[in-house]
Amino acid sequence: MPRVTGDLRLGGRSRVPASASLIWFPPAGIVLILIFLFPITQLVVSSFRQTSLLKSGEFVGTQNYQNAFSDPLFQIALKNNLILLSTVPISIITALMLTSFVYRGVLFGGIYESLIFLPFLPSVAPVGAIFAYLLSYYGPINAGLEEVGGSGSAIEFLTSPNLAIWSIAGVIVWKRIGFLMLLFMARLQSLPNEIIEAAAIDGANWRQTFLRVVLPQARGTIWFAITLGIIEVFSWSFAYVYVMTSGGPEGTATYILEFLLYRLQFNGQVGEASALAVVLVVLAVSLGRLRPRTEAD
Amino acid sequence: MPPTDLFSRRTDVAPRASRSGFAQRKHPLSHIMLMFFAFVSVVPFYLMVATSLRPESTFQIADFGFPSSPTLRNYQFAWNELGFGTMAMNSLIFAMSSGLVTTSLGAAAAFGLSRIKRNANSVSAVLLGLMAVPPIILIVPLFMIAVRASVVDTYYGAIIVEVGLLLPFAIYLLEGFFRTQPRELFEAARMDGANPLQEFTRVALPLAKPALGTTLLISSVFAWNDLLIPLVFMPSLEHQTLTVGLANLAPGRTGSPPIPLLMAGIAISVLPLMVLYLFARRSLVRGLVDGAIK
Repeated sequence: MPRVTGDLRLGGRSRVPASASLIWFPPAGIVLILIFLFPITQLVVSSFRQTSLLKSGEFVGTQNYQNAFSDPLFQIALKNNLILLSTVPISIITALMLTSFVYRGVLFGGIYESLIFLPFLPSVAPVGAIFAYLLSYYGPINAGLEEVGGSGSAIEFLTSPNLAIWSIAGVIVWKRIGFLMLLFMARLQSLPNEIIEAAAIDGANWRQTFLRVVLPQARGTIWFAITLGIIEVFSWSFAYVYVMTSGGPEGTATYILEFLLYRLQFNGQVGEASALAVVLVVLAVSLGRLRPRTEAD
Repeated sequence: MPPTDLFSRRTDVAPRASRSGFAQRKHPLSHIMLMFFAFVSVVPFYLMVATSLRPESTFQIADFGFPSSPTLRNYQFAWNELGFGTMAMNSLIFAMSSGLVTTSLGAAAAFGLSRIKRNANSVSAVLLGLMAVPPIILIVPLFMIAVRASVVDTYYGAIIVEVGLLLPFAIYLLEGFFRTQPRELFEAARMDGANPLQEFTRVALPLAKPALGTTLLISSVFAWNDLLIPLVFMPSLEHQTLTVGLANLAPGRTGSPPIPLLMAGIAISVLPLMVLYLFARRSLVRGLVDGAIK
């Protein structure tokens, strides 16, 4: 192979004829069209029709949307999704705090980081099953609480209609902090040491340095974490509810939009389910693009 | 940023214990907080392992100690009698095939994309948008297709759907990598008479081995962890994966086994990932972080 000379600029491939590029896309393209484009098109169409599982019916305008919005379960599910959104700031702020400790340099920092990352690895199903046991009314956590606080101090983590969704939120935070730490740590490690030295020379203390000098450099990564958190709440939380509470207690107290959709779909309420699906995908994709355009880091 | 820079932290950054300019005082608060979160992160897994090793007859809810006479009987029973052995095999087949197909299709598409100069940003935006689509909305239309193609409750149907869901991420990750390959290499190959296919298979792919490995690893882990797709597309006892089995056997469900047995089953699903993390930490972490930071 001839020696590579000239500039090794990354990127530019201006001399490659465009026609050469097209052959690479059909395999993945066909799968993506089949898995995304086709179902989404079908959903949009059937959201405006009186549809059953087997045949598509007549055009009914926005009737399905009105039905979906006026469904009391929709209100519950939306409220629960908004509660789950609280996991985004809680997990990010906690992770940033822990990252600042490790980044500054503490003994065993790397070990702490690895241990806190562990919950991210396994899937929601086993984690949910573990917590369904730990948090159950007669489970070990309540047993511990009763030992400390006497009988009557047990908490209905998963059986109280008001508390159950917060318990799920807690598990989501528990599972996500380690991943966020990893993300922030990787970003901070790539910053030049000079900016911190300069801040130290200027007499800034560590807190000022971290908040005013280091964090602004990681803005892009923090935005990414926010985006990902929002997407997770609206798009990837089904399994938590399915495994930990199956939508209960009291039948529907922990319904979230995804779970409601799952139930509607398999009840055969296709029109309403499609309308809800369209709402959900618009919500998830548009909230997932919150990140400001000008971000360059 | 070239992906390889991110995790060289152990060599090219000043040692952690001396973050420049700031005197190393003891930070009791930092230690307490980190210790607390590390403790909270590990305890559920500790209880899982401790409980799974406890003979069923001596099991008590409020017993947090390590069992005095640990036994693997629960694992044996869960593996053979509760079907966790079959589930583990199903999970393995499903995860490996999904990962392999995703990585192959993704590599070709990512290579193609890396050669497009115009609209590269909008392609990235589309890929990110696809990642945000809640998989749940696609289920019923896809299920109807699967019924018509008679692939319900087969690996084929489930794997194709899983591959579709993983592809945007895989393409996004690999595209970033192919874009960093110097174009002079390809020009040289072309002058030596290589056609575009050979440029891909002989030049781009061999150089991309680490990135391909990472993508394979991450997409397999994601598939191993997925609940929804196997739940809908291969629900029968014969095909169910560990995640589906666990969801159906979770505490509170009818037919949920005694806790020590259940914990053994959960451990069968969780421990392979922990072992993988021990051995492939670098590659796993890089895959998770690269896409985010680039």
